[in-house]
Amino acid sequence: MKKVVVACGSGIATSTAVEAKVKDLLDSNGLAGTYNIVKCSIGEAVGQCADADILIATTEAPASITCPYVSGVPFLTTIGKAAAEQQILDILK
Amino acid sequence: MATTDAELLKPELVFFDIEAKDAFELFDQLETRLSNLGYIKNTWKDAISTREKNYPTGLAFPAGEIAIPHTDPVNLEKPYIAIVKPSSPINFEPMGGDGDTVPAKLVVNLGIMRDGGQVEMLQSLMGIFMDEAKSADVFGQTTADGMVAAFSKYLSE
Repeated sequence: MKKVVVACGSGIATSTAVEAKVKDLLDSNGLAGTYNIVKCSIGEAVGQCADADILIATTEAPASITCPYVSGVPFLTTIGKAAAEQQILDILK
Repeated sequence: MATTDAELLKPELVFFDIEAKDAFELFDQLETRLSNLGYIKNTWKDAISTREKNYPTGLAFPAGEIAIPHTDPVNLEKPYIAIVKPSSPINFEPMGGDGDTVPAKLVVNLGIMRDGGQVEMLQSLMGIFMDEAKSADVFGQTTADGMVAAFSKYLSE
């Protein structure tokens, strides 16, 4: 089971919007049932990322994270969305 | 639920006469207006400024640049959605910290208190700005009533 961490400043607003899109992306690429999403504030992300496979955040990557990071902003603006999707799939497949 | 959130849009919360060079000047001006109207607590300005500094909210959509500053509900007196269409763009740093400064043509300040409320509102908002025709409609509004009507229409869809 892969652990996907989705984070924003508060862990409430933009991360939830991004979470829905990431879920759609993963499920439509046959990954349903192979991952768990943990949604949190970026402050909690460092701890959550210790055993995670990927961090997707609408903030900058915290300096101390140890898992791969992909920006979640393209899921809000659509600019660069295809590239972000590919990055996520490459990491999780 | 989008309908309920759309009811937070009010002509008294649409501002066309704000001039600010950046987010922080904007918050100075919004503080006076929003506190006169009874929407925010005296902790609001510091809270939203700190939040914006740490986690900027400028978003460059293909159809135009916006910003969606927001802060924790504990700083609000009652829920609101304020819309600022400045005479010239207000500089925000890009969300995610990656890319150029975002000259926002429209600022949507979400003051939503209900759990989960900001989320649905945000998703509906993103839907407007991902759509060329809808964005052009809201960017082109010149009256408070028109702005409220345009947002209400799209947020209730």
